[in-house]
Amino acid sequence: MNANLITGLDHPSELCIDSTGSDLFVVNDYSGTVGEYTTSGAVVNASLISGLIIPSNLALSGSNLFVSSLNSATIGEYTTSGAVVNASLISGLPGSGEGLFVFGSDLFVSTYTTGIISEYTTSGELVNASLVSGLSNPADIIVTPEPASAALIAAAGLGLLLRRSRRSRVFIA
Amino acid sequence: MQKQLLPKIVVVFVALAAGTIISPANARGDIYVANYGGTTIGEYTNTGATVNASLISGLNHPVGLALSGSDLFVSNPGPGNSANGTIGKYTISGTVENATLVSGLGYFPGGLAVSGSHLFEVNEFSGLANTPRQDRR
Repeated sequence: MNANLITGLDHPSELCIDSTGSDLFVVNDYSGTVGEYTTSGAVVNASLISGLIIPSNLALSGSNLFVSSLNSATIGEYTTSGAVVNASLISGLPGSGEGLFVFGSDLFVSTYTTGIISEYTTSGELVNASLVSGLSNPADIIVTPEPASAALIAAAGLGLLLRRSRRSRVFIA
Repeated sequence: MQKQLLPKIVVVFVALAAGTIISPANARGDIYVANYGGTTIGEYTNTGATVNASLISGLNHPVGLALSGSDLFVSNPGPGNSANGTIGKYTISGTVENATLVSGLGYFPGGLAVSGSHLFEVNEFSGLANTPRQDRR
């Protein structure tokens, strides 16, 4: 345990770790930056992304980082090397962006001020502006993988359908 | 005899193959949200239906969430702006495993991330316990 693994941050609000478990990205909401560190605490680039205005949360998908902002209704997309892909990938969120989570090709965003979770694709296309509503200042969100038991039930259901389909074809013949 | 058995074998094979395609890694489960304005963690289906809006309750403005297998970690600011933030450990079914898995974190433990057996946390207001997060909203 290390209670001070990384110090000198400026009001860090969220972090994420890459799929290899070696690098860690931290969003500093006061300085408007995203810093990159190793999970051992070494600095890679303390200002990997800068010029953000009250960034609040971030999510990682492959080599892309998505960043929300409490100051705006936008989500920006960057590479993990710090290059800007699209600073306003998503605009017109139904409130200030807070929680972010990527699952596959879907991006889930909670809007703090309006109590909504919206769903977009990671390409920025709107799927559902009000997937969940009526929340009380939602902060972080996560999406779990489907439980293994549910996957097996789905597989069994598919198998049953195929079996019935096959029987139907026999009757028709 | 062999002709009668063949369809069943094919069906089982297809079902097993489908089980591989519909794997836990590819299929979405439920959405969990920390209600900072309240005291709860809510659970919703991936189509937005409410499963349990108060799956976990009794928290103090929960902020951060992290998932590890079927375990859910929640960061919880210290009560009354005290410098005693905590991280609690729960199951995704809402069972309390340890409400104060980590304690003494300062006023505002924020984001969480899990990597292997390590839990990472950022503390937004370390050393600034009298600067409530609400002031920025």
